[in-house]
Amino acid sequence: MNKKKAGYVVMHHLTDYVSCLSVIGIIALVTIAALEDRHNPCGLIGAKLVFAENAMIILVSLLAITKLIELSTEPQKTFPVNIFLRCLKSTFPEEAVADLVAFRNRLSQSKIPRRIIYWKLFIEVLKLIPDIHIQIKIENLWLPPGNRRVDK
Amino acid sequence: MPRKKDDAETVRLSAIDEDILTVLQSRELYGLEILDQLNPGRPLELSFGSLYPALNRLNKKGFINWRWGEEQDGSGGARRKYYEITALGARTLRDVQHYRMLLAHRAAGQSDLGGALI
Repeated sequence: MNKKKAGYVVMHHLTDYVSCLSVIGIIALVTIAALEDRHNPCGLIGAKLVFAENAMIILVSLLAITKLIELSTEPQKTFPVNIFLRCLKSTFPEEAVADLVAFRNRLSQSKIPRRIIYWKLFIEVLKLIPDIHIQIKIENLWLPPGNRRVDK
Repeated sequence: MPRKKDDAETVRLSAIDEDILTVLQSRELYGLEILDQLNPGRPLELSFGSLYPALNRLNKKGFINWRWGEEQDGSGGARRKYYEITALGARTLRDVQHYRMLLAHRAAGQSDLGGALI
């Protein structure tokens, strides 16, 4: 077993443990919060309630971080790529998908770490969603209907 | 009167539209190539999110044409869209550039005059 695969296996088990811990922890904290709320009819925020809220946030964050690290250490490269392509094709027009894939290939060639590549792509995709699905549709309301293709 | 309105529509170009038409003057380009041409030295970098609405706008106004390219390896069958400037686009760009030049000359003339008065 190589180093990267071993890292992935460790992260996979760690994510499982954190998931279990988070579920149990969140149930316990919700119970504490509910009891605290019942014993505190005046609406004052007690120390236990604040602790429960903060602990829940920390547990959920911990779960998200471990899942992210697990995904970034995954040795099989094809799985996230296929998922990425499938998501893109169902969300954006064809030319945007081709451009984003070309952008990803360029980043891959520049030896940037894979998680940074995915982060950059994620940001691009996030910014693209409102522009493609909202801005263009709104602008088309007053633009002329023409769509000029050369090879029509 | 409608003629006048049409003329006003054709010269309405934003800064991004003008930049895109300028880089498309030499040859046809696809989205990422347009960004590659525009971004070096640009104070505020353009992203895909600004590019596609601008290309849609220019296409709808008849300033650019497009055609599908070949399918790319590893893109799951997605094709690139190649854009080229139309005669109307080239003429509009020339008009806008001419107007900017006039404006620059006018401003330079006024500053010379201002300097002479002082």
